[in-house]
Amino acid sequence: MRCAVIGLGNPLMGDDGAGIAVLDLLRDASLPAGTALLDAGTPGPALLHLLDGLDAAVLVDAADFGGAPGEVRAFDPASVRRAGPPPPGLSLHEGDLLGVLDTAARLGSAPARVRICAIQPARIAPEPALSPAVQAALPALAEAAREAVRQLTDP
Amino acid sequence: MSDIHIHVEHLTRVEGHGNIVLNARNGTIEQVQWQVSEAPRFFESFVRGRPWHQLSHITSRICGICSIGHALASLKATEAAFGVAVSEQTAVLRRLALHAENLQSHILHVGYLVAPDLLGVGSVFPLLQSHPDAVRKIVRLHRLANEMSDLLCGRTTHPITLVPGGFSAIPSAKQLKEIRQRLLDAVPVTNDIAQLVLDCAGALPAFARETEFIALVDDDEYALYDGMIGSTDGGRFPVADYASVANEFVVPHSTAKFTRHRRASYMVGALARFNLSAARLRPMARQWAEKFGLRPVCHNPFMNNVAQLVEFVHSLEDSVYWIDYLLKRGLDTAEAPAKFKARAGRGVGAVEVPRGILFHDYTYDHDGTCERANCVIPTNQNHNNINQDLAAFAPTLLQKPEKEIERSLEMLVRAYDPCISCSTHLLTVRFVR
Repeated sequence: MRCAVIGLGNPLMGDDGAGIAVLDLLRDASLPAGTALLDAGTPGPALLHLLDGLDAAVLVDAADFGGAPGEVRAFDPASVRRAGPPPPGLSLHEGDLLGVLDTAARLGSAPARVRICAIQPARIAPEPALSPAVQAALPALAEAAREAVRQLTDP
Repeated sequence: MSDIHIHVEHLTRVEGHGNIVLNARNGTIEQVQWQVSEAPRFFESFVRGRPWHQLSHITSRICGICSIGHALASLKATEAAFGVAVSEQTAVLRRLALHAENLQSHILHVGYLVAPDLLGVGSVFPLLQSHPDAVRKIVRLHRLANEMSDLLCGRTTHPITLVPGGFSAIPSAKQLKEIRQRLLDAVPVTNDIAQLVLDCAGALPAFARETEFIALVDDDEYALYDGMIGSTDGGRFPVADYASVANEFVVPHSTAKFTRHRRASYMVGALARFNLSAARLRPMARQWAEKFGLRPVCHNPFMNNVAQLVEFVHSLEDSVYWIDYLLKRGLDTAEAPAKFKARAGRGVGAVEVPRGILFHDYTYDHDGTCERANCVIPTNQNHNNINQDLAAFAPTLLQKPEKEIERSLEMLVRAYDPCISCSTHLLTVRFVR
């Protein structure tokens, strides 16, 4: 089974970089052998290319789900709805994770199993560092990603 | 006739933030304007005081789409300042890197951003239902372009192997052969997409306004990497004289500078390149231009979309040509970048990037620290032409419903494929009237 943990976000935008920062915590031997770790940054529609060919994908990203700063949630993308209107299209300046996942599914190139591990940001603004709350919660985010990989790769 | 008030704030499906304003009373236009509202970026200030080897990496961050072009314009400016000549192999590999970027950017624009307009839907998402096979092909072409960039530049965006004097890593012959095969395999896929666009090309408005077109030109090739500055109004100018071609100036309603040369405004980009160099396109690209009825000099800005498609085909063909050339003459994967010493001086570099001609101009002190920088970005050079086009196009639309006027004006701006975030760069915010 081809499985990848895909970190998403911009490390120059404060807590938006949490999905990238957590990859460093996953570089130990705690993930099943063969699990790819991908620093995808802010790929826009190019995320389609990363998903293509995977059987399972764990997407780690900052997400505003109304939680407390640093709160971690793991969920199935089908179980959530977008809050607010969707961006008007695919472009490099209008990243839309749910839109890309939906596109991949319609093109028949989505992994069969997908899980999103999200962390509630405290501050998303130009700053090359995480907020203390999100920094302190990175181990929990890493554990959520490990758990998601276990669930998705469990036959 | 009723009054019309259109204010499109933050036009969608373009890169960055710009507004369209149209006010008409009793059939007379009172105001029509293209406003650039994006915050300035200050890159020219960032590089002051930085050593020469950092400049291409910093300035490539101006854009996430044309980062290869920015890196190359930057390297050429630095090399011009220090008197560095690069090897033939480096020049060919750089041409391939530019083609990879042209392929990336043009398919993103035509496939994801323009096709929805032509097929009468609001975005790429409804296309998934109506034309899933076409979207699959667009994604495949985009992926090929990304992977070709990765092969040549060490990353899909923001190149790391492009360095002053050459390359820090060179792809193997095996890798070049593989990408060559994939480029050939992409030809029928591209033909399908071009045919789809041709089938709905009637949706492109038949609007024309005479203007000047400016692009790099070269007697031997469809100029992208090298050449002199050419104009459809005549004349060839050395790249070092770019300032007297662009004539940058400031307007109150825009955070980006405007430009003009011989006329009120000029246009750069795929259509400008086509208008100046159509005769030097590769054969399949020329055939597609003929099928679309695209002939130089074409003054319809909407045909820029078609010119991008024609260039996509050209980039496939020209890449195969240069890969064959490299493999035949023998690839030296161990070739080191040219040796040089930093020195005081000024250098200008120019390349054609997807949206048009790009200039970087650096002044260095004796130990190679940057003292002054100026970057003139294609979209900057197009803002004024967009404004003039809107002024000429809007009066032809006044009989139409307001929604349709709005959509037509938006399509006009999108045809330029503007990258607004890249173009905003007021160094000193001081309005001198």
